[in-house]
Amino acid sequence: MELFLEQTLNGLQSGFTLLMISSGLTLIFGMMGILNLAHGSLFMVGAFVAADIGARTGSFTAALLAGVAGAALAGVLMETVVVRFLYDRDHLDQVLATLGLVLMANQGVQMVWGIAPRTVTRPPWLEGSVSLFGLDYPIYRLAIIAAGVATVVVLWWLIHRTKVGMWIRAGNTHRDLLGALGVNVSLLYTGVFALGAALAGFAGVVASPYLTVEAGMGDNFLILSFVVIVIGGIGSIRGAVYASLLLGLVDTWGQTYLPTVVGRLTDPSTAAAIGSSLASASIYLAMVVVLLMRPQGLYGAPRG
Amino acid sequence: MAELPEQSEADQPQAEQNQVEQSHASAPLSVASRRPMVVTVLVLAVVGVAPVLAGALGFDYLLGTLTRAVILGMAAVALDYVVGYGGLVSLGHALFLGTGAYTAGILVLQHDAGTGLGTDQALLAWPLAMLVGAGFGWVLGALALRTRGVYFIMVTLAFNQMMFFLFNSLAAYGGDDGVRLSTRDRLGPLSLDDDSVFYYVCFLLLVVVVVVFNRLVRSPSGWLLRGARDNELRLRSVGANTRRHQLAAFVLSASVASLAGALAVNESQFLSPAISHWTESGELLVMVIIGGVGSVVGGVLGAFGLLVLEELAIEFTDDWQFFVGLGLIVIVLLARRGLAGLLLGGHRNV
Repeated sequence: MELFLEQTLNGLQSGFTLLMISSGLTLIFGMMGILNLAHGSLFMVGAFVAADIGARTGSFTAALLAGVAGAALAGVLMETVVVRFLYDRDHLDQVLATLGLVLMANQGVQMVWGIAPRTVTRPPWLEGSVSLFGLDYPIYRLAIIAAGVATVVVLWWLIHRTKVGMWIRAGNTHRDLLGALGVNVSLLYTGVFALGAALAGFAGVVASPYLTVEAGMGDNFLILSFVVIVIGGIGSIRGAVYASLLLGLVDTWGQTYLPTVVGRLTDPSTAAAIGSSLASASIYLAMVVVLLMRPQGLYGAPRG
Repeated sequence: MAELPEQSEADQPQAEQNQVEQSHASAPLSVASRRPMVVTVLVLAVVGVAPVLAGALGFDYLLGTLTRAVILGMAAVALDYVVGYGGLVSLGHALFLGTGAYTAGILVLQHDAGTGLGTDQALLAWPLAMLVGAGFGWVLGALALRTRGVYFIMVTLAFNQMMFFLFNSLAAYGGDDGVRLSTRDRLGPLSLDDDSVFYYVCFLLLVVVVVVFNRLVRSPSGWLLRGARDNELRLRSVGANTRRHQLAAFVLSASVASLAGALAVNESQFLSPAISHWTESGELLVMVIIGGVGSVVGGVLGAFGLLVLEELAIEFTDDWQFFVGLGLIVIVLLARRGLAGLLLGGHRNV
């Protein structure tokens, strides 16, 4: 039971991390119709900047702020120099140009920070663990969950309760009309892109104490957030929330329990290997099930 | 497209209901320009003499790169059929390079281990690689084709990653480090271990692939594929089973990519999951775009273009990937129809 509770919390933690990345991606797609493969690179940039500033200052807060700001800045640069010329292009051009950005970013971080992997350390004030129903659980992981919940609340408030949010919702469907009403749509796009980048950078910083900060570290998160978007429905933040948590839980539970289940059938070492690849496959199986039942995703508008 | 009869006739209302039949009936070879054919033959001729040229100019060491370009060109031609003619942007074709590589690689490893389940005969291993690729293409393609557009890109990319992790987990066949293969496959009396012989075997297969796809794009199925790309709803409403043709195209494309994977593992004699990394899928798309989308032979041009560009970049800098990325962005933003577009001028390869 304790194991189940622990793994559930771990699953929620990785789900919320995924949510921070995929909500930005889906927001950007919903608004500008652009598929940004370099979104995972923004996650990576956030982590690298945080590792650098963290090592210089020793302060996690400074590292976090710098990481988020660095990713947002990289996002603004990306949008103004490359991405804004892709809005009217087809998906193939978008994929290739943003793939170019991925290659540049992966090499770029190595040119700036070298090839040695780096680390981000947890702040001392989030060290240690608390007792939850008899389970000692790391405070830092709980803090990630709290940050994820806060992200959802703030995003909801921003999109549904503010004027900017109104523009964002209007821009999803009536871009030209919005411009005709005097809103600077181009600036709004840059802003939304920066917001998505900042969210990805935030995720990169808070997740990196559990990861190695290295080139390409965002790639798998990018692909996972694609799975989130396919499951949740494109452009739907609500879908992204549910799908992220679902994937986080399915993956973590799978990694924990599948090797045990397979272990009943075969010897331990093979069981570990098979169980772990089954667990990796489980999130894609979840995607396949959604594709079969509801190709437009849980909260996507029906196609055609 | 202006010189094709469909275009003008489709404007007349009564022609609309018969559009499918018309596509069947009017193979426009006679009216279409010969220029695509000439370009195709020229490109293949250059590829055919490339090793001789490289040798004469003292670039013998390039033979490996040229072989890889032929092999990846084959995969790019197959991908172009789905992307350029089908309008289905697959960002997962490296997974089929993987199925081919692992089929051929595992067969050789099993042969070495003497389990009786392996073979080093190319005539067995390569068709089997195509069959395995077709099988995966059928299952994954049927699933991915439940979506279109940007969803299709994301789903194929997700499948690519799934297979990548699967190949990584095959601990008995090298796991994530990969494993060296003792030998290339055997092909009758030919010695594939001779790099020149191997090049020309790959080249001949490439010629076959280009000819097959050139015929396919002019076949009824090819016309339906393009029709579905341009207006799927309209074709469906006149009763065409577009999904069947799209799936057939995807399966065929997967199977040819899988053959390329089997050749690639023979070329390097090293079986590693890196061949199906998602950026390899991106590279294949880059080749298609550099060469010119929807031009068949463009894939070959793109493969040579990209690999030679990379080879040059490596000469000058360790950070070559940075500049390949930069070049890619410039190409996408500035040159719309790729190298084949330049060679073909206004003439499309239907």
